[in-house]
Amino acid sequence: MTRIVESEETSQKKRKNRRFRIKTSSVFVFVMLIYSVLHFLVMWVGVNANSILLSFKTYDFFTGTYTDPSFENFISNLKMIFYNIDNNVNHYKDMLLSSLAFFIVSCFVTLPIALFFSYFIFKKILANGFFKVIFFLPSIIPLIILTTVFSISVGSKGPVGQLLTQMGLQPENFFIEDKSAQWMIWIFCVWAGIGYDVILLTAGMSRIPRDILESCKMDGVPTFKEFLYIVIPLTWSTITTLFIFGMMSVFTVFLQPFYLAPAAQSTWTIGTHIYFEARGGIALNEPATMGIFYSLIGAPIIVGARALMNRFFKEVSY
Amino acid sequence: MKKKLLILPLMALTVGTVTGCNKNSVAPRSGSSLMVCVYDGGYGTEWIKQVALDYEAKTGVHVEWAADQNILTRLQTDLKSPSYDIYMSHDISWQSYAAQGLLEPLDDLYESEVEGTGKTFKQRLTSGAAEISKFNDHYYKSCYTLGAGGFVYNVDLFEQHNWNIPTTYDELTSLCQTIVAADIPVGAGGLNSLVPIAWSSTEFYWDYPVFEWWAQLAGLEKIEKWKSMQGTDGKNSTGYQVYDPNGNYKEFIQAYEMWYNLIALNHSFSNNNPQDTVLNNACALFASGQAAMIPYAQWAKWEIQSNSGTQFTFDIAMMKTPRANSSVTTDYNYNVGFGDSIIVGKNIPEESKVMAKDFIRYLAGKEACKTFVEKARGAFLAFDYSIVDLGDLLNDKYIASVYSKLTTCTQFNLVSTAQIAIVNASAIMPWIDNDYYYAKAFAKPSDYTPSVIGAAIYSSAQKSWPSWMQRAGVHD
Repeated sequence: MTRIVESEETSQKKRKNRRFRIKTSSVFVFVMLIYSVLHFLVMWVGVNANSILLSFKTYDFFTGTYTDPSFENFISNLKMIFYNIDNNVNHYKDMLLSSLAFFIVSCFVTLPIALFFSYFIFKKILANGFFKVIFFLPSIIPLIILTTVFSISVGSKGPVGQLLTQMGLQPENFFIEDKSAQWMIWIFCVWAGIGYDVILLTAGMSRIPRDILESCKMDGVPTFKEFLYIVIPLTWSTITTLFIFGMMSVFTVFLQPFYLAPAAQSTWTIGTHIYFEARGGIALNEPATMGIFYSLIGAPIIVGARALMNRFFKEVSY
Repeated sequence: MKKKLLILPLMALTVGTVTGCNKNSVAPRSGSSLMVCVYDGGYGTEWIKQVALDYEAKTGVHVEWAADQNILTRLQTDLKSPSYDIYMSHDISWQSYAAQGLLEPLDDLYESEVEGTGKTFKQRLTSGAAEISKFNDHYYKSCYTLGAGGFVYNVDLFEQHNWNIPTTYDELTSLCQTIVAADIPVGAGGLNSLVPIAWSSTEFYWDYPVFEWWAQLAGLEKIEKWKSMQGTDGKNSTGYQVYDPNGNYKEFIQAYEMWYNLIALNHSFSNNNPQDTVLNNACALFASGQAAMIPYAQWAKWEIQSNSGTQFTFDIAMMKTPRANSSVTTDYNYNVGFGDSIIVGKNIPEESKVMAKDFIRYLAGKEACKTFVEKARGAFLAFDYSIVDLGDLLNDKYIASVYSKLTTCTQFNLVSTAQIAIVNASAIMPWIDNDYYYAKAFAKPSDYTPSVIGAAIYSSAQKSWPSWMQRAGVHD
């Protein structure tokens, strides 16, 4: 009898303890997550909601106020954007072309180069650890330092610049003229962007089962075929992700043109323009509308591209 | 369990520490403290330090001041709950802030008498300053400085080689040729040759002599026409016509052509690859005596020494910009930075507003005006200096030369009060969209000839005008 009573008491105590543990764990999890959730609600949901609302308003400079939101205001803001693009007001047309170019640069230049280097690092060529560090360094150094080092190195007084001068080029003009400045920005973005892709791709490649690679070796599969028919399909999900990131660079590249070639405004991107127009703190309806407009166009294209790319190779689990 | 309880206060401490880490935080106001923020730039901070001390000695009011290069990026936010009572800087969108109710009206300050001068604050301001400080029938700012710009030159070098100060453009060109031909060894080991003019990728410093050539050729009437931003028919919608290179803007393009012929087509007149040279390096060339001249503005003496890390071992001076041709009979001085502002926040305690206005009124007095010139090494506040005894300061050749430009030349500025110009300030300026061509033209002269530039500016203005009008809410 006593044992049964003890058993009931014990199980009651255990249930009570479990409930207490669940309660304290829940409180703990809630407290740990509340900051992140609040941050997301304010800085993402709130900011984006406000941006959408702003695009439906117009600004009166001389009263310092925004009008009430209306569809007519949104149309008016859109019309101004179309007009500015059409007439290249404040380099709006150049901005569009400059931004779109980053899709080509990121997806069809940086990514293939990164894929190539990743494969050889994965194959553990001589000093592959050193190359890993070299490629990843630009990704962890602040952009302002990176761009300053790059522009000084390539400028007429830098080591690379002096070499280029010997070759008959004029590095002193590279960041002055719009055309050459654009090329320098692209070269910088490729150089600085390879590392991030390499790290992700080598991580993806390292997941490939060893026995597949060993059997390729035993079957005498050439390196090039192994790369094309084994490695790429098996890391396709990583490649797709990086391709999508590359597409997004149309919108995310914004400080590189300003730091490298501030005088060449035709190299500025959508992000650069939005940043500088919003920085003034007034007439925010204009950059907000620009952001909404390009997001409405860009989002379905990026989602569609992802779906299309996923059709190339089936998802492989291993 | 104990670990979980420990984590919570640690988190709170971390968050609190991070959010409290603000190097710009200001000490809480006490009743007798005035908080002043100045842009940390070419005037240095010695002047505000001395003026603050003098003001405290006179009134007993302690002045907490700070110099901040980043103030403009956070000014709008700051004004909603101001950390400072007074802000002094260039590029303040004061009309916008006034419209939002963020600025204290200064009408009473303008009507009050400045001690020791027998004049009101408004009367103490230099000509034209009060007019550009009014918005919606109230004064919301005071002009900050009275600027001067042009060619700063090495006085000792000129005297040593018996070079006359050029008074005409042809003499300037001839002087540059003489310097190049002389091939004077300079620098460590004498391995370099003296260059006539040092400049850098901070190319807008060329505006100072170029704008004065524009004024010489066009006259002030045309410049005022440009500032009106109205077409030949008096309408706002045709205002882009002020940029017509065959009309109102002809002389501006001619002034650019003068620069183009002097510098873009004569690379030997400049330091090596100026378009790829940072300002500090150009300053270093001049301060070390490797360049005879440098285009600069009134903050030259302080800033060149600060940027180059070299104290001048020779006298410098600012010459009057050489006259464009023999038909020019007037010397002009472009008031660089005439649009710079001193503002008082609206959302500060009432007693702070009183102190702020009293401090600004003190700046208009003789003592503060002289202190500014002395400590800023030749820059002048935007007040009438005819009653200020600069005395021994005028023994400094640089200060004397700037003073001469301010008192013997016809003054002009490019601050437009046209609504379209106020709203689109960064786009509507002599160089549309802030597109400068000096560096580009030096790099590739054939692509940036005066005719090409004139057409490009006009086309850009014409296309952008409807957009700018809409933005500014301007109609005919």
